[in-house]
Amino acid sequence: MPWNLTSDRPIFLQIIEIMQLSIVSGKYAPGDKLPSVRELATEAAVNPNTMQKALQELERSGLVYSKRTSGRFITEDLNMIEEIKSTLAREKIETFLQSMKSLGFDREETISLMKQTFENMKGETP
Amino acid sequence: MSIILECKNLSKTYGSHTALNHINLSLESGHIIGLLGPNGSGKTTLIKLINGLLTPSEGTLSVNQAPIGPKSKSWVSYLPDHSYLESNLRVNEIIRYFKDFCLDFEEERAYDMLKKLQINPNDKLKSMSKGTKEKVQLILIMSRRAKLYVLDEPIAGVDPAARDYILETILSNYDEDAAILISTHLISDIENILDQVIFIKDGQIALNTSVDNIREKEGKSVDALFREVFKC
Amino acid sequence: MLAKLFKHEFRETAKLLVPLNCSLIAVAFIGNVMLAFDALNSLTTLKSFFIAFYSLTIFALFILTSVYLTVRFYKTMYASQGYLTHTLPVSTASILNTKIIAASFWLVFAVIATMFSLYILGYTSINIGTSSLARLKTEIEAVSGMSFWLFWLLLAAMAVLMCVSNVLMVYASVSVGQLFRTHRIPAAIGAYVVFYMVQQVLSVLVLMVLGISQFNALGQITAEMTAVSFSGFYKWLIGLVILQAAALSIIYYIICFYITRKKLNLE
Repeated sequence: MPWNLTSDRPIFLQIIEIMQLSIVSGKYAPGDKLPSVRELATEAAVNPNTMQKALQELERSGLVYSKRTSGRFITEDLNMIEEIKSTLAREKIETFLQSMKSLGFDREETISLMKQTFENMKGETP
Repeated sequence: MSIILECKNLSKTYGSHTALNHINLSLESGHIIGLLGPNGSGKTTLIKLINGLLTPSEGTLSVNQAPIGPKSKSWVSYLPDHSYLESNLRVNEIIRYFKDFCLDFEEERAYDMLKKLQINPNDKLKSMSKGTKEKVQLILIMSRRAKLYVLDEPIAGVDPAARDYILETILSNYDEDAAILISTHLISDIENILDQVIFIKDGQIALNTSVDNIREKEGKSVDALFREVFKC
Repeated sequence: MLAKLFKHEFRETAKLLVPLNCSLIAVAFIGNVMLAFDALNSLTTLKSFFIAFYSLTIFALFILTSVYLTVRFYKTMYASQGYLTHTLPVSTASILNTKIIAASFWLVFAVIATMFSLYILGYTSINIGTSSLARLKTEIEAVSGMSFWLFWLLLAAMAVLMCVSNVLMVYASVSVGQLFRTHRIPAAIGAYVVFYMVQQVLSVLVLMVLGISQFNALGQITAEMTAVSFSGFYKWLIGLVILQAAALSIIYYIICFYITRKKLNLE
């Protein structure tokens, strides 16, 4: 199943985001070995060079490291994963708040609306 | 990285009609390159020249430093845009043919892919659906260890599932020492697997750049840029 | 690579042409059996019917062989299968040579099959005694002015060369046809007609010009036209035909080669 990529931004940036998400969500656990570039590229249906570029970028940020002979691994640095997790969460919240603002809700209204929604959803989702 | 294809001042004219107009182009190994342009822009002419199916009117082209001839042909794996195999032949007969002539043909790989698709190698081509036939032809082409793969409209006229299969086959058989040149007009379907694109317009190269470059600088997809460049 | 080309060409063409030649032999065998049973000459109608059928089979063998080889040449060289043929890692000459040799082989093969079928047919019915064979030998030697075996050798060489030049003429016509963007098959037929006419006119001209001088050299044609005085003429005629077939073959080959090499334009 090809990954869901949008058409207006560089693909390697989108791959980085998807990989970050896979790591923080636990799809890849800390210390896990990543599939090869070719396998990942085939899975995502993207150019192998693009996948390579994205992985190199992830390596540079430290989320992934490579052993010369045996391939790429997810970092075992849990703090770093946590950090990225909260950064991603903050970004999501910011976008959400931005859209609430554009809908015309102020801070208080947004918070109460959120509480209300949580009440309604009880039992359905965690 | 080495230069796989080089065109210098390449022209092709038919009578008074100019199909290719002094093209300079070089392709490096390790890339999947999209050759994009509307019908009649010169795509097919360029592809035929690469494969020695036409002779240039002017200029030269070489594959891996060799002029077009038996040697260059042994390095180029070509998928024409239509069915070109004798339909009376069985798949295993065609495989034997390819194995005999293309020394870089890997028989096992071909049978492996056929098996995955549950295609019986004893079947004749003419008993197959259009989509299956296209897949068989692609399997044959991608089972070679060529230096340059030239795929002319590999996904035209197939259903989305077959298209996914074709793209997957291209990617999983791709080799960093080779270059893949894909001609198509179905850009949005294929642009994620490209890393370089060549726009060809009225026999000339209108653009030759990387996909990331287009997205970063123009902030739009190759497909969107194409529509803009070739706006009627 | 050339060996591989031959192997594939023969394997593919044999699929149709071997059964075709075999069927002629089979028809001859049936005829042989029929003639053997008909010692009393009572089956006249059946026999004449058979002779008609046998002639038709020979005719069909040659027509089908020629048409099949022509269509195959067109399909594998200039139609969609040309995409495979011309992207093989072999030279243009190799491809062309393979096609020409294979086609000539099948034509010669058909001639041999026909002779063999005649032999089968005649085996029981016509009994050529050794004495008549000897007489034939002396007559041929007298008329042709060469030894019996040389005569047959030259005749065989002539037949083979004529097969080759016919194949090349057809191939050159098909090649000329593909120079056109549309209506390639009618154009090929047109080219064939033109080649044929030019060839006829040329051979008549050659025969006339050389013939006159030859007859002059002989001196008295009308006065003493015996077989012996004509012997030089046969030698000379066979030589001329061989020379002409060879010259035409070379010209047609150059046409085929030039077009496939420089003017190839697949649809």
